[in-house]
Formats: sequence, structure tokens, C-alpha cells
Amino acid sequence: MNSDSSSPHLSNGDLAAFLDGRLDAPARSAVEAHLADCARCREEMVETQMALSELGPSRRVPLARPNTFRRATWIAGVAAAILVIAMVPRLRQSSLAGRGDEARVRGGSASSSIIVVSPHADAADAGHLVFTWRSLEPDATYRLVVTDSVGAPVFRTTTRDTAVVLPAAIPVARGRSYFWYVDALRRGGHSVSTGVQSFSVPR
Amino acid sequence: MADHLPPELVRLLDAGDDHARERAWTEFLAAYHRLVLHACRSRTHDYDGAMDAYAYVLERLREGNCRRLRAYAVDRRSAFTTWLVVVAKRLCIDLARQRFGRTEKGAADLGDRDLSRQRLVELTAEEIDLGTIPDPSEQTPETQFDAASLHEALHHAISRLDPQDRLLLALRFEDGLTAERIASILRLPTPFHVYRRLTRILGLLRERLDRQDNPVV
Ligand SMILES: [Zn+2]
Repeated sequence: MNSDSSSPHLSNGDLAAFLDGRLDAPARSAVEAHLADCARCREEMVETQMALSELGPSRRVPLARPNTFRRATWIAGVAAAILVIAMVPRLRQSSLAGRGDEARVRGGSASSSIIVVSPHADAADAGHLVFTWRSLEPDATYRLVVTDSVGAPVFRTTTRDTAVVLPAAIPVARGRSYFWYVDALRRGGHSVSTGVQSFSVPR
Repeated sequence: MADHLPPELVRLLDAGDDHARERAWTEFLAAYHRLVLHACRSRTHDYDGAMDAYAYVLERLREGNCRRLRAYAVDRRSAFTTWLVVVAKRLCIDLARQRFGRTEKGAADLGDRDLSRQRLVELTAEEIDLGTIPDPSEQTPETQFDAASLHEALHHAISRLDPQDRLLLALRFEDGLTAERIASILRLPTPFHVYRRLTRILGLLRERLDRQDNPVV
């Protein structure tokens, strides 16, 4: 058996060649013997085989998620969307107050909100999404959350910077809308937020 | 026969400087992130967990100057896509084991696994010598001894089967998989082939256990 390392378990190459039916009889027998005795490798093999069989021989990933997953996130999505919808009127109100340069005071609380610089709500560039906001105070830590239109998180990160480039690996679809917000905890323990912002990616 | 290397992978492994590496990585992700995401999302209901696993897999793929991807370039006994799903899925399971001690599935299957193992013993014992197998509800030292020696004899008989038959038994009786799933793993044409094969293996085990009870002098 070919081994990727000194591990006593099957190498990734062994397992992949076994699943593709590419091993000759002696190698296949050796892999089957290991799988018969090793519950750990067997679990990994079975889980991988299931993931592969959802794709079919083309290995093309369907655009929609598998049903089991969609159903599970459906409820979470609705819950998140309810939260987003509940926050949108507040966002509209604060947006109507104008994109001033001064920190705005929200909801009667003493904490100011975080001012958004980019992306623009209706002109986001899918290939180059940069979230930028005004600094709150030196050394503040910010948490950025991007969700899809039903509120399911697509990307989360924590940073001390005031700009985050959405990694290329995070899929954003053309013609879709997304929500995002940045929040930070001030030294006094008050949390401050941009409020829920939205952007859509042009087709 | 070695599979060809996808061009995105060649460019990534050949990148000479940080800038080229960064560009090649973006290009590689554009081609394969959906497949990696699929591996992380498959069979989980935990969206956040799947996104964390996705980030973890990408980090691991990149570490050590992409040493895992380099291992594929040397091996190449499977399609790259199969290999990538194997690596992603194993890393996800690894992460779940680190976090929860065992995977969601492993914990859920444990009860079934014990039942299935018991079922194997029952199935094999059914036709061996019914008259000599005592009622298991009567817990006497004698019944306990018989059950233990039956397990031991069965274990020995299984160890002498050929590897694919042992794997089939493990998938069916330890992991509790369906005949359909086993057929697709072992590349048997239909679930009926699995049942037929199981009948043959169980017959063989009974025969061996029987012979052990009544050795030919
Ligand atoms: Zn193993």
C-alpha cells in the first residue's frame, strides 16, 4: 500500500484509488483488508463515497444544495430573515438620517454606530468585494458577518482592520442580494454596529 | 495509469513567487471551491460547522507549500476530483473528532452497530445446532460460556474469510449500511448481489462453525 506518511491508516491516494476502482487485485485486497478491520478508515471511506455519489460521475456540483441540507437551513434561514426584516426599518431610518461624516447616535443609546464606506448597496463588484467602515477607536476589534438573502451566513471574520476583502473562495452569485453587518465591542462594554446593510451583485 | 494534472493545480504547484502563488491559489479555488464546499456540507445539518470546516480544509490544503496537493501530483492513481473529496471529507471528519471526540454519525450509529453485530451472531447461529444453543434469557454460567465461545469461534471463522467478504460483513453488521450502499461501495451491480453474497458468506461461516463443533476425525 502506498502511504502519504508514517500513519498506520490508508493514505488519501489509496482511498481515492479504491473509490475510483483503480487498484489492481493485490492492492485492492490489501485496502479491503484494512477497511474490514479499521472502523476509522471505513467511516471516512463511507462518508466520502456518499459525498461522491451525490455528485454522480461528472463530479459536477449541483447549484442547489442537497435536500437534507436545504431543509435544515430553511428554518434557520427564516429565523435569520425575520431578524433581518425586523432590523431593516431601523436601518432605513438611520440611512435616511444621511451618510454623514459624524458618528450617529442610535436608539437613544450613548453608543455611536459604525459608519459604512463600502460596498455600495447596488453596485457591488462580484469579483472584488471590499467591506470598509470608519474606525471606531484605536485597537477596536470588529466582527464582519455576510449572509445570503435569507440570512444564512456566507462569511464571518474578526479583524482589527477597518477593511476586509471577501476571499475569492466565498461564492457570491450575480443577480443576488446579500446582507452584511459589522459590530464591535467598545471598551465600556457597549456593542456598536453598522446595522444590517445590503448589497446586490449586478448580473 | 496516472491521471493528468489539472492545469490550475500545475500552475499552483509551479508558482515561483508569492504573487504568482496567490494568483494561482485564487484560480485553483475558482475551479474547485464548489467541490470542497460540497464535501464539507454533505451529510451535515450544521451550516456554521460546515463553513468552519471549509475554512479549515482550505487552510490545510495550503499549508506546507501545498504539501497535500503535491502528494497527489506524485500519486495520481485516481481522478483529482475523487482525491480532493477524499482529502476534504477526511479533514472535516478529523475536525469533528477533535471538537466532539467522535463524529455525529459515529455516535448515532453506535446503538445500531451493537444490534447489527448481535444480529450477525444470531444469523450465523440460526442453523448451526439449534438444539444445543440455550435460551439466552436464562443467564446461567453455562449460557454465558456458550455465548462467549460462539463469539470467539465466529471471530476466528470471519478472520479466515477473504478481505472483501470481511469488509462486506463489517459494512452490513458493524456499520449497518443498506445493501444498496454496500453494492455501490463494492461495485456490485445490484443490492440483490449483496444479499446473495451475504447468504453465501453466512452459509460458509455456519459450515465452518459446525465443522469446529463436530471435527471430522
Ligand atoms: Zn485505518
